[in-house]
Amino acid sequence: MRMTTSARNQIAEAISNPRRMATVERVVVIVAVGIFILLIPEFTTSRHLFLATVTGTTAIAVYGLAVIFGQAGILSLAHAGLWAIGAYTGAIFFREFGWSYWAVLPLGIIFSSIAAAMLAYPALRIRGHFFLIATFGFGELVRIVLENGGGFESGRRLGLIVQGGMPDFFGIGLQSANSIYYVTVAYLAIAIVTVYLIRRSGFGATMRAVRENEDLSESIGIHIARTKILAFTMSGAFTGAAGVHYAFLLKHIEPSLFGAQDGIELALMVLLGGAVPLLGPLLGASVVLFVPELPFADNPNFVQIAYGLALILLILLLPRGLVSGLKALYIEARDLLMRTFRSVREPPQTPTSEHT
Amino acid sequence: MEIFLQQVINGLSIGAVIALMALGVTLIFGLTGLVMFAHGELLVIGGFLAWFVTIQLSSSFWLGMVFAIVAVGLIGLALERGVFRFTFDSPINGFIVSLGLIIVLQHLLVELSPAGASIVDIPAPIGKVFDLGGARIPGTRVLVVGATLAVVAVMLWVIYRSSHGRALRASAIDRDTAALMGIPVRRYIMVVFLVGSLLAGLGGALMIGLFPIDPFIGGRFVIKAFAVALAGGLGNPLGAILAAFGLGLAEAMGTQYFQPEWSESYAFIVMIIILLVRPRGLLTGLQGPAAR
Repeated sequence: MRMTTSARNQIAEAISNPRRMATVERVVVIVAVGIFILLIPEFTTSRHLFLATVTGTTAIAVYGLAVIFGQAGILSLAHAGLWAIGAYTGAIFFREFGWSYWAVLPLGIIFSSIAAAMLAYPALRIRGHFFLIATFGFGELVRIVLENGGGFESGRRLGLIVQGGMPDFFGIGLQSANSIYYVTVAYLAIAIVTVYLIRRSGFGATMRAVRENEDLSESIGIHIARTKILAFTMSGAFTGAAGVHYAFLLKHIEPSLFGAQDGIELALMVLLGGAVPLLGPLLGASVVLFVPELPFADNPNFVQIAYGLALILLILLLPRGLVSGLKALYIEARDLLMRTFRSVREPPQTPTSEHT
Repeated sequence: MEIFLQQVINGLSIGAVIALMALGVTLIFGLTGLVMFAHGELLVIGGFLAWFVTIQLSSSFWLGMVFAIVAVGLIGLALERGVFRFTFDSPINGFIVSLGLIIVLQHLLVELSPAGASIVDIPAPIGKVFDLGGARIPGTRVLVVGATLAVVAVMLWVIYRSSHGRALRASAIDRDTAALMGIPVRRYIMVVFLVGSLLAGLGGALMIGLFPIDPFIGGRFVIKAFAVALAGGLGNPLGAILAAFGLGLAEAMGTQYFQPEWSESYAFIVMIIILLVRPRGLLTGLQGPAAR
């Protein structure tokens, strides 16, 4: 009897304490999403499992974009190009020089980061949509270079084949689809935690300050150029890792996977899910990549048209993304529920005490 | 020498298509600050409508051209009314919306076009071939360059010499003050969308007279249009037109005398360099209402 009273008090206190409530809710959501992700191999076909693995890999690149867009407020259409740099670094060094997966992974991260840092230089001089145009140009340039350039004959339009590169992760016979999926999930978890840590760090605050007001943050001693370059470098690390993993996962990469159109698609994912919420990029990537699998979506043209319309409607109606929209909806519903719950439990005799 | 002359005409005719695009792009930007990337799709739709009318309905290229101009103009007007007017407060949202529109228009075109996603072509509208100092110059290219120059001349006259042009330029410099002076800025924005789209329709019809097109080449042309609009100073119509013909010539010469597979990348390289060195364009342009 006593136990139940104290338990009830605790629940009442938790409900009345919004901060603790928010923490509880967040933990519940993350645990639920985590369990769902881990259980995916139990109930999907092999085709969908592969798609889920691709989604996880893509989401890592989208998290890279979310770092600069969500924190520093800079949107880029060049991230498919950076992704390509990671993928081609992995593929070329694996094929031509016989490097292992573990050796090319850091190399891809480094190359992609360097390219991203170079991409940051225009961002120092040009802002807003001018920078977007420049990144669009960069993305197309990367594709043209991949199609024309390089001494790697098969690396041209036909693409590169990366056969049998997936290593045995930690000695657990990991050639099966399930194990590759779990490794990808582990990468994704690392990426999400990294984004979380970046956001919590002082540098995250610095980026947000630059996003909100460049002149003001410069006046209090924030080095704008260094902040932006560092933000891009970090972002490039994500795309580099995603690229290398992508190349080994797909076993065949070609320039048309990484054009400006794909840069737009990455931007769509980040806008769709929302760049600021922690699970936004993952939701965005999942929606964009899984919508074509829906039963009514047998005409690829309609799927593309639906994407485009979704993007337009989102920008016009829900500019902060799906996750924020869902959250607002949930909070609305919860508050409504709590209000009715409270008014039933304690009839409103004293309206003033209701706020305490 | 003959080859050189031929490449000059080739370059000018490509430059003409780019100039028609760039004029619309730079006018829309000047007035609204919107970077309208879906303009390339309007060009392609113009080309496909011209093809459809010329091949499927009648056999007259001229009818196809008129149809393309009118229809694309109306599409542009509808887009302004239905979509873009809600984004004028935040041009970056307008830009993202235009990216979404690219996807929508492209695939709608593939879905609705009788040819699907494949390449379409029409016979040369003017069969005659002129002989100029040994160089063989197809009549179609003369038509493209001539028509473009005529349209551009009219446009420039309207923009720089008429009272409407003065009102337009005033609105581009300062939208609010212009509105206070009694200029119906919103109506001018509508008209600029309409005119820009009419020009894109014309460009599309002329383009399919020049070479076969597929539904996915719009992006390539819009990026070129923006490159030259930037080079000429965004919001500066004369600069954009000069830069467009310059780029057309550079591409034609590059294809002939350098490595043809890289000629596609010139526009991007030029654009990125200009953005880096002179972010507001080579000639004096406008920053656009939002950037102020």
